[in-house]
Amino acid sequence: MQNTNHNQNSLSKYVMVFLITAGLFATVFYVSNSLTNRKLAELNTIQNNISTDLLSAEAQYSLLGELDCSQVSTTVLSDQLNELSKKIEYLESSSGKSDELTQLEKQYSLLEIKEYLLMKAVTKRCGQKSVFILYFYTTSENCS
Amino acid sequence: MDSIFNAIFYAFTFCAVYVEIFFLFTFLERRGEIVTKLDDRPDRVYPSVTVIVPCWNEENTVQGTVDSLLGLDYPKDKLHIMLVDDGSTDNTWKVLQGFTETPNIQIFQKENGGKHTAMNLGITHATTDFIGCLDADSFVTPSALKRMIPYFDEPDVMAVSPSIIVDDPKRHIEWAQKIEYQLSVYIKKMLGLMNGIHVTPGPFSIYRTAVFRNLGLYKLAHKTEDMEIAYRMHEHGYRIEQCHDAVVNTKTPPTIYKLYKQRLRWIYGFINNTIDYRRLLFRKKYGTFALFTVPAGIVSIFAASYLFIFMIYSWGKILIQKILQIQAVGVQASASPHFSFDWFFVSTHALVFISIILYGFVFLSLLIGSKMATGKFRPSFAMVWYIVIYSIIAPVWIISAIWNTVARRETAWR
Repeated sequence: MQNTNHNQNSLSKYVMVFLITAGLFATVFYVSNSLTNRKLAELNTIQNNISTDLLSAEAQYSLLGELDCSQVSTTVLSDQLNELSKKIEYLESSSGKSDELTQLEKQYSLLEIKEYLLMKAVTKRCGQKSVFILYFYTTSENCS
Repeated sequence: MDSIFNAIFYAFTFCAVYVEIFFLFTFLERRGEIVTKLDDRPDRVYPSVTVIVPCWNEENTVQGTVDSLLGLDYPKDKLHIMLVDDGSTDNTWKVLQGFTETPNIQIFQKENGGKHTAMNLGITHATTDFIGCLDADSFVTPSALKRMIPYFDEPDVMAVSPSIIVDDPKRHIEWAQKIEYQLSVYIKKMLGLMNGIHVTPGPFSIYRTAVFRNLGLYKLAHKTEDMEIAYRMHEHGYRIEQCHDAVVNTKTPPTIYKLYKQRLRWIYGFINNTIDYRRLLFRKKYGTFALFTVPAGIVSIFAASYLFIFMIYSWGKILIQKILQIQAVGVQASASPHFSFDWFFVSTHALVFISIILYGFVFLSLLIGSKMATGKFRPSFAMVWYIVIYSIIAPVWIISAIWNTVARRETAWR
């Protein structure tokens, strides 16, 4: 007793379903990539804003001799850097390492150092009590 | 290393989505063939059918099973029922003896030898052109047999299976199985359209007697004789159909452990029957069964195992990182605790979209199955319950079945 042909699937059906599935996956990867790139662009914007704010704070400090210490804002920069670090960490864990992300991490580290130096000077000048915790990224598997 | 794991993960999800699209494609392509064949012409001649009910310790359900057979809307002189007690240790034999005086019922008692031996005893005594099997915990609906017989008008159809649905679910685990069985109605109908059905289940599959005369009786076959006979039929080019509108209700395992035992036996049977019949795989001669059904089953077994282990590994990694973080800097509490939603932290990983697509297809399949089984195209909370429960426990019985195969450990019936 032989199978009747009308119950068999043609090769073209297998191929067509494969192409549909491949097209679906290609679309998914394209959309995911685009959205990740938008997030990187957002991080760049945040980074640029922080740079500008840091310059502004440094200029303020330079003029400190003629200004009241209470007018030097210190917490806003820390909050912005904190937000940036969370987003960089999230993007790294969700999308993995990339050249753009590594560059962002370098820039973040430099901004963090600049902020630390500024805050150290302000603390000394204005007699504030501050605790400094610095986070750094590494490409090594093991930090020890 | 992570990139290799991810690549394998994507390969398995690709296969899963492929299978879902394949079934949907078949459904759209051939939905015109999903018709009821109930043909109640007064001049239609119905053939004689013997239905065998193998029993082992079924004192609570066999009465209902036999009553449902006696309630079939089918010419009484054309329906023969054989009740075979396979060495029960409870009151099953006593219940069966209550049918001694019923004209079209024969009862047999034998030493325990397994379900296949009980079936074979019935087959060797049958004189009709059609033979069916009904598990002693299942109940046919009155029109089931009349709906199935017209499928045999096509001379190359050698067996027909019905739609099996869960009888009177009460517990969450039974509701989850109800959804699973509804999904099976859809899957099996699609496979039936392509002659790709790989199991003719115990609850009311009907065969031409010629199947057993030509191919031999049931075998032990790793306690999945209903699967092995289907494999054997495909090896000989026999056609198996599914009658989606012939409904049989069945009792299902009421606890997670009993469900685990049952599915362990099924998956172990699939793996080992596939090994026994590996010569058929990927050969065009054996059609959809060899090119799609069985390969998809093999891939799904490894995919489910891998994805489960991958998930445990990923969650474990996150948990360890969190523990290390807390050990280093303590639990971080915000000075002004508040919740603010930021779209940035919504995952846009490809995995998330693929998971949404995959579960979307599963949900669509559940709806189509629900429509075919109950006539209603309606979502239910039980569908969510099914996805959640089976995502967690199905990989466990799959991995156990693989292990039992590797370790050559036989599975128990119950």
